[in-house]
Amino acid sequence: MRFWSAMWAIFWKDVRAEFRTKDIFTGMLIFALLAVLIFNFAFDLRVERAKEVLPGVMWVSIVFAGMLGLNRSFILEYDRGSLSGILLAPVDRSALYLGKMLGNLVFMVAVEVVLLPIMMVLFNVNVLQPSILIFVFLGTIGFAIVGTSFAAIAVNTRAREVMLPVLLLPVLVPVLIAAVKGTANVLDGGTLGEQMSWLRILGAFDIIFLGIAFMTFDYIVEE
Amino acid sequence: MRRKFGLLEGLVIVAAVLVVADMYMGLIYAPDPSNLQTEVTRKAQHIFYYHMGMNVMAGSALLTNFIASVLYLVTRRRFWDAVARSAAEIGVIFGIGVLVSGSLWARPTWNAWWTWDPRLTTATITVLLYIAYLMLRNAVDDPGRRARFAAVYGAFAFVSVPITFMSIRLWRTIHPTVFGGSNPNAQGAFALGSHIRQAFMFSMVTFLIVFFVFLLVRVRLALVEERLSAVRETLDALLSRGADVEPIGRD
Amino acid sequence: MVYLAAAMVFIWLLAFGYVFYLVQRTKEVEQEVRALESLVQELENK
Repeated sequence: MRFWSAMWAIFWKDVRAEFRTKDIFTGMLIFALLAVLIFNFAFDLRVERAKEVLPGVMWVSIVFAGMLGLNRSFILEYDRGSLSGILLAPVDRSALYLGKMLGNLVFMVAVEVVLLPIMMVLFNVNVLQPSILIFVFLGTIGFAIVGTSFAAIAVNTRAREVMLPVLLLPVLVPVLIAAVKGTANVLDGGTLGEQMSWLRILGAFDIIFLGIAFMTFDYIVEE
Repeated sequence: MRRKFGLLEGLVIVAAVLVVADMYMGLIYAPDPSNLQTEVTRKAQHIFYYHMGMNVMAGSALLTNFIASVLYLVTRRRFWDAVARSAAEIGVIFGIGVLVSGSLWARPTWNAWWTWDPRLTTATITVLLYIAYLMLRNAVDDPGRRARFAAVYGAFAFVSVPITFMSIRLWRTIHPTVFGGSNPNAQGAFALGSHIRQAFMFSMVTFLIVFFVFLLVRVRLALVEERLSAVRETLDALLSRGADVEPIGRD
Repeated sequence: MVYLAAAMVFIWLLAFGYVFYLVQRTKEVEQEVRALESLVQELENK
């Protein structure tokens, strides 16, 4: 039971801290909206083309906004030194990882909850269908799984803001491809079979990397 | 007792000889494949011996990095970290070589310097992945931490490669390529006569040996450099305790 | 064809040149290590 209560404790600590100020959430959201806006100008997204480009635009915005949130999850602790305090507790490190990961996941989902309806209105495309939402969810989980591990690493390096994208993006390629193509497939009215293939890749990614993250987190935070 | 010429130097010579022999095999011994159309493509096919060879080197290097990373995390012996780092360097260098040589071969064969076919795209991402690995190593000052972080990232990176490949391949089969020219999925397959096959085998073996030798040389330097910094630290500690010797400058 | 051979020779020269440099550097570093280690011995024996 120690494991689960530790995990929830860390999770709620992060959520409550964010609730008080909401600055990271707002920052992520504004950034995502600005990204969408800039894409609008960059690709001249008239209504007809919006459907083609929307999956890519959506996911790029989510990924870059997500990176802001990931940095936050460890920077505050690192700078304030509270990480060592947490580590002194005789608890499985993976509980720390899971708590952080869930926190990151919840923040990203919160941003998506606001972002997606706005995009729906802006682009006139229904993105709130269940088949799309499941891609969004699984993709975000994948992002949170790998992102939390790498944020824990990156926060300990020089040039930490640069390090996180450099480490994260190449590894996230399968998630990006599967999420974007899966979403596009749904919007284009593709077959269920094709969507299942993409979902399988997303699922495999999530499971495999969750396992690796679990196995390696101890090594990342041991100090 | 200065070691002028040791075992490793001997191996380097052996590797060099093999390389020269391989050049003969690939360029002279191996004939032009009979089934290719133009003179240019027939000549260009010879690149393949080196292209595949570098592929073998880069692949072995990355596998070595993975195994060394895991072994470091398990045993915590700096030796494995040195191996991981050396292997990554070799992997990146020869990975880039694979991409460049492939590009040089593609130009006459498919009339394009680059395509986004699954293998090529995955190879590019893999090279970027391990460049990121080296950047990570660069960004951490503490050696123990650096080794740990690098090992963790190495594990993630290696596992991501097959998944990346599968996702890109799925992308390519569901959405067929739209840019023109010949079908990038055909490898420009050439007839494998016996001479050609021999040249290939020779190439593979040569490059494997070259990889091994390069790795050993690089690892040895890495280990010796670690001893150097360890000795320097001991020296500093002794000096700061007030031994009466002039301080030695650092570089 | 000749270009290919020339390119390969060039690249291999670079590669083995680098390896040669590594070997030289290893020797230099080993020498320095030996020198420093004997210095450490001296200091410790004082």
